[in-house]
Amino acid sequence: MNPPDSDLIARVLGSDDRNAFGELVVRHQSPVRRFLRHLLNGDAATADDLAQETFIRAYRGLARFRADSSFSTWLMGIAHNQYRNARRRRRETPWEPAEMPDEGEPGPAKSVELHADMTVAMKKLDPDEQTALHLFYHQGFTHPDIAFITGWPLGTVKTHISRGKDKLRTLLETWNPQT
Amino acid sequence: MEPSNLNPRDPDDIRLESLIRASASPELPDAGFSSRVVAGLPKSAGSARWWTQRNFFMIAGGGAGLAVALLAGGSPAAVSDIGPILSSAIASLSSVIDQPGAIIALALGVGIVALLYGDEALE
Repeated sequence: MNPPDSDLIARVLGSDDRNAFGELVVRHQSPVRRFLRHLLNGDAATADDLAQETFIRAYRGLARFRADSSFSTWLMGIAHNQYRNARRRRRETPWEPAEMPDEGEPGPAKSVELHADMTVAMKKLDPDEQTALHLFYHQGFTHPDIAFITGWPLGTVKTHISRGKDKLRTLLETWNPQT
Repeated sequence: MEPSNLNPRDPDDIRLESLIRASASPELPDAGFSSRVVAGLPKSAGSARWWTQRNFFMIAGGGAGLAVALLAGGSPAAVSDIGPILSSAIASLSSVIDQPGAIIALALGVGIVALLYGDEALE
């Protein structure tokens, strides 16, 4: 039986139960690390460093967590702040994509290659559009959650998602006119 | 939860969203990540406990000071006179601040408050 996050949080706050906090980390490490890898263009090492710092800050500030958002949403907000702070420190050298497949423009594709086309197409979107689509479709967060995580107004979140989808639709139709 | 759209969904839109979801990267195995995080946690107790303890000592200290004042001959009436006395003291603060000892005491007080609450102010 897995206790809910609220029970684990209460144990950490009440008796500094590090096992309970470790369980929280186990549960939430994958989405946090995936999100940071997305933001950092696949730089896994830096993403994991920022993810570790995210959880340490969450541990320190756990008393300030309010149940008006889910724990995962709150964590992702901390992760996004960690990314922004790191980006400010690296103003001169933005992260380059970790892997750049040299495939050129995709051409007419079978369905299995459509998946690869989608991955390439996503990389052609604005960074904020990519982030909005990642959080909404890959991580399952709602629009208000995404607004909380990123600090964007709710309307901006919806605009990023809508424009991102429009661009993807156009790109895929251009590359795969028969599909 | 987003409200359900009463209009029928465009099949192309449904397909596009399905493709977007399918492009997600796979879940990441823990591979020792959580162990490293726990090993790197601060040694002191969580900030929640420190906050609770700090406030407890502040209140307990204030209560102890009040008890000492009453036991040393003060009275509840005398305690209620503290307000006007403080007002009078504040009004003459300018002459007090001129004294080096007062400046040192003030600096010490500010320093102690910063030490107690500074980490929380910075986070």
